[in-house]
Amino acid sequence: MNALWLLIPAILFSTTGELFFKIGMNRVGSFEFSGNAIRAVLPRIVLNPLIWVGFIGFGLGAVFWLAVLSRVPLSLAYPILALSYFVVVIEAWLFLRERVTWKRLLGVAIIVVGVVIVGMGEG
Amino acid sequence: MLTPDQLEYDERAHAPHQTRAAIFKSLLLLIPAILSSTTGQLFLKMGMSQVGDFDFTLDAILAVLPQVIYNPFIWIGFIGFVGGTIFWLGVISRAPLSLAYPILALSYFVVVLEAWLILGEPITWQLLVGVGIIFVGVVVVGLSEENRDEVKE
Repeated sequence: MNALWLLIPAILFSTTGELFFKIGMNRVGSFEFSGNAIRAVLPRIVLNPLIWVGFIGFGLGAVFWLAVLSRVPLSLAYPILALSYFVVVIEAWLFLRERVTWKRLLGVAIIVVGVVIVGMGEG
Repeated sequence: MLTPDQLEYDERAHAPHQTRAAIFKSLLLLIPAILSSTTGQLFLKMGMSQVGDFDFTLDAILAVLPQVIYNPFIWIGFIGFVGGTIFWLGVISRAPLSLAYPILALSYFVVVLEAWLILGEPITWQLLVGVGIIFVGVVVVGLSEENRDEVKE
């Protein structure tokens, strides 16, 4: 089995972690970025189970990502990881019902091309 | 051009209502978010350069772990990540995820710049072209957030 398949759980776990961060922050609500407001809101963030699920998603994604890196050159794996940008936007559209226009998808596609070019220069 | 009543979905049902001005203002928090996490990355790299490379076996990891944990650069790196995460949560408490997340790709620009300035790593044409394309994409994504403020209610 090609180790690149491990990129699928790596991407799905970390992007879903991001999704849970967003759901958690929708519940917590927006806050002003002042010292007092942050001190007031921080306990609600830290105690929010959705935020914890997000962190667990990141952790699991990182484990799979490290497994990929131990088997595949970075210059191959990293450009593929750029697909995460699409996956996050699609998940936000599917699960959060954010409005995703063709223009936004075009912008994401351009970003992915740029990230792939940067990534191919690594290693 | 879509108007809100034509929308099949409405993210406002899930996220608290924000005007476009408030959303774009919150995107400014991406600047400290990106600077903090990329600088954290830089310090992790400097710390791990001091620790040295290690095999990915349990024995080797256990042997190297104390050096990693007691390295001040690693600590600064983690503080950078925590700071970056707080700013990021501030961003997504207002901005749609499908808007804010793609813009995080600007991190590549900052990492390339910091690695060049501080670590003396070379900048190639390929990196510059890639970062330039990312900039174009970020602008397109930013422009895709339409102004619906005047048609609400």
